[in-house]
Amino acid sequence: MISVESVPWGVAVNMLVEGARMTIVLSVLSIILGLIIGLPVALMETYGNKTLRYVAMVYEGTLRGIPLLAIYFIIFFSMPLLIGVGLPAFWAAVVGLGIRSSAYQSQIFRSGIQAVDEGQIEAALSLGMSRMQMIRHVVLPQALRMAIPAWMNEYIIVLKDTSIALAIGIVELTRQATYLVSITAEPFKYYGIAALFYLAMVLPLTYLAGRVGRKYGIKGTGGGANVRI
Amino acid sequence: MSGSNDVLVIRNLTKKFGEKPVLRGISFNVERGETKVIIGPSGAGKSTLLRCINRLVEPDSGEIIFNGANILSRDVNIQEIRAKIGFVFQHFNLFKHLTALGNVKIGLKVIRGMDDAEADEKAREALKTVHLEEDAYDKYPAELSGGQQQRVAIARALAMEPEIILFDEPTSALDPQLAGEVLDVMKDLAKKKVTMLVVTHEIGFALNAADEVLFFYDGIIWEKGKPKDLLYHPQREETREFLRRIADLSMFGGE
Amino acid sequence: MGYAGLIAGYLLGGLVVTLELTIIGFIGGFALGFLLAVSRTYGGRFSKLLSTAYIELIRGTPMLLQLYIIGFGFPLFVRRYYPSFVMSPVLAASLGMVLNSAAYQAEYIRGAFNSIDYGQIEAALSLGMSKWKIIRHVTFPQALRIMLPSWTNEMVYLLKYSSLAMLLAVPELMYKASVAASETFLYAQIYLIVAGIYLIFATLIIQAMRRVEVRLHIPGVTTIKR
Repeated sequence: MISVESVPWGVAVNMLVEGARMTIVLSVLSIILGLIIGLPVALMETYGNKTLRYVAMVYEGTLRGIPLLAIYFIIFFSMPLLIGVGLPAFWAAVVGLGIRSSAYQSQIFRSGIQAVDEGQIEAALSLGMSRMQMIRHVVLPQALRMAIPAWMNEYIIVLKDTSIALAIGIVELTRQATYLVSITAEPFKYYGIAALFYLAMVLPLTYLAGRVGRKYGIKGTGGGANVRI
Repeated sequence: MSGSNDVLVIRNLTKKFGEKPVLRGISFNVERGETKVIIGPSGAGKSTLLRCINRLVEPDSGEIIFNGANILSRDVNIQEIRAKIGFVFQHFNLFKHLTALGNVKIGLKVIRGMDDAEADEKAREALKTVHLEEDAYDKYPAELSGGQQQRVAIARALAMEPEIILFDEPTSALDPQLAGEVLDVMKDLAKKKVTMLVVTHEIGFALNAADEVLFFYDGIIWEKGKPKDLLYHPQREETREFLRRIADLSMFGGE
Repeated sequence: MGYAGLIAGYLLGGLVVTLELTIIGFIGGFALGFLLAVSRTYGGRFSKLLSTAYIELIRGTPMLLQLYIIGFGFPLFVRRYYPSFVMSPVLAASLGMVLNSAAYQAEYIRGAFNSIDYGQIEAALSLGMSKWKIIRHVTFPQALRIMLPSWTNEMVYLLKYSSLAMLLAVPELMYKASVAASETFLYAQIYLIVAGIYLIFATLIIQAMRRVEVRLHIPGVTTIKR
């Protein structure tokens, strides 16, 4: 790398902000997709019959056992060849991260559900509630509340893993920073700013998750945030 | 009055936690072979007193003379001292990753430097002394009842052949039936003239086994005396007040 | 399909590198993580601050960013002064994974040490044990067992995230797969096979560690799920 140019500060800031925007949008869409799929999978795995349970376990077991990069490549490269339909890079990124997150979220919700006191269930059934009613009115409200800190932790993980989307061409924060570094050969400056941005998002969320965890979390897990599940 | 027969002499011990004075000038002796019992209302004081003796807690001022030497001075090897003072905790504090036998052996191997065979022999002797059931020797603390765990804890202290054993409310965490097993072991030890300093709520034990009873309250020792004297004929109002509050003495039998 | 042999060759080579990265990352991460944990628990004010800052920095930023900094940014910077400087991608990736894993393992270690109730420490002190004796005979045997599930997680995590080294041109499994795919155009099959390989090894790790957990289980110290 012999030629080194400097980039006007305004341009650099714009690029980084664009990257940050993409990071956030990607993370939010992915976590929501993960929620939409993850919760039903959790219910299937906890309350379903043998078949449903099996399907759910295979789903989450597989998605938790393969790298996100592999999921991305399968969606972006393999899928079009296999079923003839492809997704544009952005949506491939959302779907890939979303379904991976759904696998982890299903485990988070399962833990929450299993943490609901047995006595509550007995009481609900004794009142005459059906299984569905019990799940909907007694179990889920408590389970979801207890799952909040772990869920926030999952969001932090999703936020950081948006960086992997650069492998299928998404221009998020890490990629923008890399562009700037490759032009200017000033890694500490631009990677430094990118790092600060990630920290600015992660650290407050970690702290918040910790506080919420002490209040609502499952006893014994103490809202341990920013941990690898 | 301290004679060469004293294992432990406490003089004017004080301790404050922040603003709160917990020990306000404690003085007493424990002679060799004596069983001394401290009674009094619940509060941080009595536990703290015991913990000062083996310096798990550092007192603010005063003297603790153990076997003739002041152990509060800087150049004392506290580990050597602690090895000669046994401590039995309210919550047993057994090592969870070791079996009952393992718990008793560990001090002998790691601190006394015994080899495994020797430690094993001594440990089994100690466990026999506390009447632990043989099939419990290889069980882990989580698999033992509270009474068994506390007896193992006593054996662990005994095996080290200490000069004195400190008991911090040894039966408070046990339900009455299990507490009985442990108190029986302690009564045995008292008969065998093991030097013991016991903090407890068990008035029955005090009556049965103590050579002297001390009443401790609000940082001070208000009264000392022989069990029957102090418990049946308390001199001070504070003592009377305390004794009134706990169950009828006649329930605990005399002889 | 004469391609089968070709593909198998590529993938096998890549698998070896992947496993190397995983193992180095885990062991190096443990060694450094242990130092960080000790520094954070027993260190002086400066050590505590430094190790805490390091841990928060690593855990607060993406691993990919860290790999890029070490494997791309750093060599670029050095080349301004020593134009012929080259850093081996495998070295960069290994270093990145070790530095990353250390931050997480430090917290697992700290957590395990802290979960041992103080009463046992008091009992050990009362027997006359020194600090080091206590760590060796009481704390460590229990902490080790408590950490096993975290270790399992960390190993599987490193296995999966070693795939990021592909972006630094490290010839691990994912990289080799993309090379094979671009040569044979069998994108569909190859990436699915590779996913399968990761899954198999992840499962192997989990099963093996579960056996270790059962073997070392002590009631009251560890819990066996299911």
